[in-house]
Amino acid sequence: MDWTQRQPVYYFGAAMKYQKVLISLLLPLLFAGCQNNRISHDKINDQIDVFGIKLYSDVDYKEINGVVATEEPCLRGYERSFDNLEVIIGYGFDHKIRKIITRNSRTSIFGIKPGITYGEGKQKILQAGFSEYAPPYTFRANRYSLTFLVNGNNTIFGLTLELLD
Amino acid sequence: MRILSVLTVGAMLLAVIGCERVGTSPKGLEVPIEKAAFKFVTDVKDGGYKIVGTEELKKWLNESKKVTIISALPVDDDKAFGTLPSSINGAMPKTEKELTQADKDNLLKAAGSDKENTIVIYCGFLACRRSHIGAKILVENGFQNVYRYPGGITAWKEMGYTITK
Repeated sequence: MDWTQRQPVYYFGAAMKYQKVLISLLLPLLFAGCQNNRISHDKINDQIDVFGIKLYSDVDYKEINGVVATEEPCLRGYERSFDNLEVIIGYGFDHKIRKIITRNSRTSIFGIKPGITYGEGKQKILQAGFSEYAPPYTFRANRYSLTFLVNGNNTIFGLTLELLD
Repeated sequence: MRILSVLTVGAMLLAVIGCERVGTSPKGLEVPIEKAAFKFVTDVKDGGYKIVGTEELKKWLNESKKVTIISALPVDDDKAFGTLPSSINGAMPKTEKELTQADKDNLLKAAGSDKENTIVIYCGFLACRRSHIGAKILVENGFQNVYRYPGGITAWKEMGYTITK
């Protein structure tokens, strides 16, 4: 029989015949897909320890721990800098937090504190499910990007966590 | 009744006229412009580079003047908002505090080896300091014809000039 003449029922029958093979092939793919999406924004926010600041939040931070912010415009919204805390919050035009930059060693993202070595930081971020995007300092997972600010001693002196559009 | 209608229309016209904004930019607010202008003047004095306006830069490109154009915006912003024709990315951070050796190396690579070449560096708009940080680094590294284009991608697009996306 020519393939153009085959009816849908033929393909269904063939699929049933190789059901076990198909399932064994599809299941790992399904799990791999789930793994890629396993970083939800709740999980990301749970791992952010920067003065209680969370991504997607619409909290209008103008002052943190007595430090008043200075505001600057940016192409995607506006940023508030808390210089004495070494923290910057980036807001989108929807007034939701889309970026957090920290150089404060009392803060951490995914357990990475400014002050640790690049090697340690890389290990932690890869364990968290991120993968290298623009090596060696930018890592991505789903809609999130984390960039290490690294100095000449190979020490991470800051982190930029950003929500991608 | 007729008098009431005339009065209502008159009041509405006065309200509309009263709402019209005046100033450096009819669409904008004067105080942020003043703030940006103060920073800009201080930065230009400090940076030791030259400046070029939107129309002049367009003229250079029309005349096929040999110019290396560098975008100091993050790569993702270049992708999202477009770039000036033939520009190369040399992303700079928003403040000197976030500057890394990798940023400097990337910028110097984009600038090339000819220190007499005309280089124009730009970012988002007048208040954006990424172009200042980049222009200053280029001057410090011996480049002799460094221009900062303060209007950036916003001014370029506002004029309706071609962008690359």
